[in-house]
Amino acid sequence: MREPLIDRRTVLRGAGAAIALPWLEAMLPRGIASSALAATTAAEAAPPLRVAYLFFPNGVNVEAWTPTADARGLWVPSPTLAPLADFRGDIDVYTGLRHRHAEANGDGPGDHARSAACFLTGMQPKKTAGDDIRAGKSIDQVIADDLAEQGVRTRLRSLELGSEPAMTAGNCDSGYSCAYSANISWKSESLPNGKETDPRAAFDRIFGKRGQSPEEAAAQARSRRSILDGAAKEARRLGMSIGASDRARLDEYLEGVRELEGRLREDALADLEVGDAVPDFDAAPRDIGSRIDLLGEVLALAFKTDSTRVATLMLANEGSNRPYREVGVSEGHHDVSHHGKNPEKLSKFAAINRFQTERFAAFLRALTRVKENGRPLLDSTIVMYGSAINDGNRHNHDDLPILVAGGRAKRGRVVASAPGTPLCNLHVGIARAAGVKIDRFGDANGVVGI
Amino acid sequence: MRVSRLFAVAVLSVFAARAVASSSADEVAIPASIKPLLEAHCVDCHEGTKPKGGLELAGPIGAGKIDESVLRALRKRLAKRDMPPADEPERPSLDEYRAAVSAIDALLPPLAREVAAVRRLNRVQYANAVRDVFGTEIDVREMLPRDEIGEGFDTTADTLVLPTLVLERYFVAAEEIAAQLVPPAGPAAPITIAPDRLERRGQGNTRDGLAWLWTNGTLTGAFEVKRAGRYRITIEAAAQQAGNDVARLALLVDGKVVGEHAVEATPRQPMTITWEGALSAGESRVGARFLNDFFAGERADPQRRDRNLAVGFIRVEGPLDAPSGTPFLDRAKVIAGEGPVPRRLRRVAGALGEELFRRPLSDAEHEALVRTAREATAPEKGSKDRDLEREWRDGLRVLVTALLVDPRFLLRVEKPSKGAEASRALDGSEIASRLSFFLWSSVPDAALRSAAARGELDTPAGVAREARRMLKDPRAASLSQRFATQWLGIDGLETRQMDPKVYPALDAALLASMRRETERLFDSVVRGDRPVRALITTRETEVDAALAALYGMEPPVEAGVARRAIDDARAGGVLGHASVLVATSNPTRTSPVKRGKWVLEALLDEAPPPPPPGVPQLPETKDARHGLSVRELMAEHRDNPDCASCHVRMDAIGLAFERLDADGRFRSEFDGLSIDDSTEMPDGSVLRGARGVESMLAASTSFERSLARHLLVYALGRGTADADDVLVDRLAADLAAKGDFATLVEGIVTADAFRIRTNLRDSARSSLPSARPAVD
Repeated sequence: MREPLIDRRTVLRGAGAAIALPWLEAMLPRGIASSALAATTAAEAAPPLRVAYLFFPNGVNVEAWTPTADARGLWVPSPTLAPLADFRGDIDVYTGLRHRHAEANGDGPGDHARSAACFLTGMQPKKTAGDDIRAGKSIDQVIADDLAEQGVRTRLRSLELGSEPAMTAGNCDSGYSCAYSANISWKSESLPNGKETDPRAAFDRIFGKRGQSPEEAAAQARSRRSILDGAAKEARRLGMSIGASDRARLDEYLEGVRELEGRLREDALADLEVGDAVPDFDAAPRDIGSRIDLLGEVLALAFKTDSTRVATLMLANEGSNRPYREVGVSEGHHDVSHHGKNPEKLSKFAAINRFQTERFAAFLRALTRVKENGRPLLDSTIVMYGSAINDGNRHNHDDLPILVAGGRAKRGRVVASAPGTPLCNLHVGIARAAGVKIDRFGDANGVVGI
Repeated sequence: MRVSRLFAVAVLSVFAARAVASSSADEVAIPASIKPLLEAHCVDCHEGTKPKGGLELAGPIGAGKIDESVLRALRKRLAKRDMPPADEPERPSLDEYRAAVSAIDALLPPLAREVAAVRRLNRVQYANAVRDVFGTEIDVREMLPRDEIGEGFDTTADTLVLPTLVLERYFVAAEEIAAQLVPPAGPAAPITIAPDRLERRGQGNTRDGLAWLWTNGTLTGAFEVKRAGRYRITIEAAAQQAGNDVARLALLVDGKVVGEHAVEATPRQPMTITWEGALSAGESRVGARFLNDFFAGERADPQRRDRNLAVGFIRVEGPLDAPSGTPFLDRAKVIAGEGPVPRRLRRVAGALGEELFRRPLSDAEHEALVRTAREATAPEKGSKDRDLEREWRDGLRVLVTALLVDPRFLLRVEKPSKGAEASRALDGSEIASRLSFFLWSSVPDAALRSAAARGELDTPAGVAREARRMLKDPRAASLSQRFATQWLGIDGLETRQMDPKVYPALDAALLASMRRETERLFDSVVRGDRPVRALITTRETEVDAALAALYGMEPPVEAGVARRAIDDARAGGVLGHASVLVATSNPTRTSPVKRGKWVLEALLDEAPPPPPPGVPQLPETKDARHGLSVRELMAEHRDNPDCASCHVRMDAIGLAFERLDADGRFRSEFDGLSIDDSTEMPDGSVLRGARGVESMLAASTSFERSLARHLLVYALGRGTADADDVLVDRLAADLAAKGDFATLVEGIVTADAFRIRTNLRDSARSSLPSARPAVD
């Protein structure tokens, strides 16, 4: 019998819900259950917590962003946050948080570069156009390292995504290297992690090339092992004559080789079959919104298959001056962020802010569609969404626009901290919720729990 | 007069802020010989409770002690001779300035920098090396992530970081390059993709060997094409019919529809659809799209209610035509000679290794490379029918991959000077690498390597000789494509998004044409066809048809480019190039501020400090229509002291370009207002349009100094510091005297900074906690 059953479809049609089919649920057959983590995680009652940090540049139109609170202390959507109305119960709105080290502190202008570099590090970046760049180890990397120490083995230590590649020519911001504006994830104080900007390349990196036979895959693994082994030997030999002050690249090379070797071991155990859930990279239009949403889908799949537990996604580089014609803004984002209280610019700025909130909402929807033990993946994912600039026009770094979603908790609150409370307190709170027992980070002087 | 004072305030404010910022206030004695100069020229403004710029000097002079950071900042001002302000009636003489700088240098050794002994190739250098060593046209650059920029260039060692993501991309690129250079022998075995391996978009299921679509959608199979060529694709298809039409299927190859078929076959007896055509190497995707879903639930006959489409297997055969050889394989065979496979691989490892690693390899190094290749591919023990051609190719493929990810290729290592040794002359192969990565963005060629081996690069004369030869080589085009585009801020111009409503003609193709116009001019300077000054003065250009139309010039008679004289109204050289005019504009309009800033930074090497926060930008045209021209609006800059200090100069320069629109076209009016492009500089001089800017630039040697310093940064892979002042001054003076690009290059490559490593990196630290103990 080769005829397909039509019953199911008839039912769907009857319910008028053809589009509402949860397209990912049935289509991610094995995923986490067969990964190397199975033994650990199956023993625990709850699935592991994941953490994602979503960053947007240039601050906000404060008036359009700021939500009000109702009598029960629950937030009521503002124009910018309206796309999140469906997720009100999943999101807390934070107020009063500040990044002191994104401020000048004698370093003069450069708020954009500083705010990206400080966002997840809490550190004042060294003012340099390129020589000896230096910020701090970012909180996502602290979590990634701690998980590794706890014995968690995911195929990727962490995943860095963004919609814009490194900048091309020019001075990015007032004597700061472009590396500061284009990275939020810092593996160490002098090593920005870079980011993958092509959704398809990001997918291939995590799930491998399709269309390989098992024999080909085995041959490739063998060749990779041999090549990595030889490369590591040569790098160590080269390193013997190189002192501490000169060996940054060599150490990074060796660290990378070790990570790739680890990946080969995990590959042999992992089951990354995603079948029908592969996003349709070819069909998607090349506009910035779909590209960010595809990156979000890839990230959701990476979490689902436990390929990583920590990720960052930059909706754009800091100081980005991209026009957003998708929402009728022909001027650059940075240009309109300096609105000077001009009503037209304020409304265009708010339109961009809202467009970005829609991307956050799309990511939350992807995390909701993906189910794990019958629960939406959002229940086991903490997502922080925010910027390290408050008013794009003033470049102030206090009362930062910060949202936190997901992660098993009932939300919906406006969480007001005393003005000037370090954003790092929240970084500590999120890390602790993710099972990383730290007390101090950046300029934290306490904990803002989530 | 008032304006100049304001300028002075800004310069000192920046420097006072620095002084305040330095928390470790190490005090040093003020050199006695500079006290008279400070007293005569500085204290008038910098004393009392409200000194200019917040800098109080009378106190320190009295005490004879000053903060080290303040003294260093003073040195910078004295070296640049921009304090006291230019309009002060009494300023120190050139000799007095110089003597003061040397006196400070004698007390505080000028800050110096050295590049890290280990740095990595950037993606352009990697791609060019692959092109030059393997003779392939593979677009390697697109396989690698864009590098971070430091000090304005992607050659800066400290920003060429190597996070795992980047290393991984280099590994994947190496595998892809090797697979294309060394394809498998003979036709590949057919690939069959089973229905349960197909990706489905739309609803459906997979049963009994068929993947079904119940709604319009697609079923797609992905596979890897190892070698470009003609392929045959066969798809098994079937349908369940309903309604008046027959089920229709569109066949998609790599996203494109290549045929439409009526599928009358039943699931019990599926039909096959075949397609033959060219596929390029890499991942390919074949898809079947269901075009005409039909559903009528009310029909009595359940068999006529629903039309569905199914796909069975997808089979890919080929390449049907392409020979399995490549030019690289032919060359490798010649290098390899005769003998057993390991010996042949060893010869190839030696030849390619020397080119890629930029130095000869030892026997042990050869052995290790061959071992890697053999471990990856050695035939199973006891296997009788050994296929030598397969062994050779598999081994060679792994060898090429291994070479391309090897740290000796990917990283540039210069042996650091040891212990107490303050500096060390670089050896021949290290100099050869510095030369080739600077002038070619690639690895040294055989001639350069043998010059190194003969010891010719141990003398400045030998280095200069090689540099001059290299400038004549086509590979020197990397100087225009990589140095000039980054220096002038037009790298990646084709990705710039101008507002299509205002500038509909500015698409990526035209933007790329603009960039190439500037590259061609710079190429002619590199070749020595034009003097360096031509970059800002030449009244000729070479344009293609699209640019000719933009500029209103006679189009080239044939395809390609033609030489044309530029319009009188346009300034010379790059000052009139559309590339630069677009790059310094906003998406909807020109930006006099950005243009002024660009001239100051790129051509005069004076970076103005950015605006204080909270300052709004100029309104768009709508507001300008309220009777104020852009020029009048910008006059507000003058009235606001916060702005005026920098903007007076910047705006005067930028407004002089106002007759050149944001797309590079000439215009005489804007929004119905005629454009006045005569502007006044802080010193009272008048700039008459963009040609006035050209005259101003041509009147001093600041342009030469700016080019020299930027090229030095690009060449060395680090920013310049105080200690480089002397060198930069000398380069600028020689360049101004002789005028040709080769003189500048020769000055750089024969300088100590280029040929000698100093021991200055003690304060720098490793980026990762530390390497694990070496276990080998």
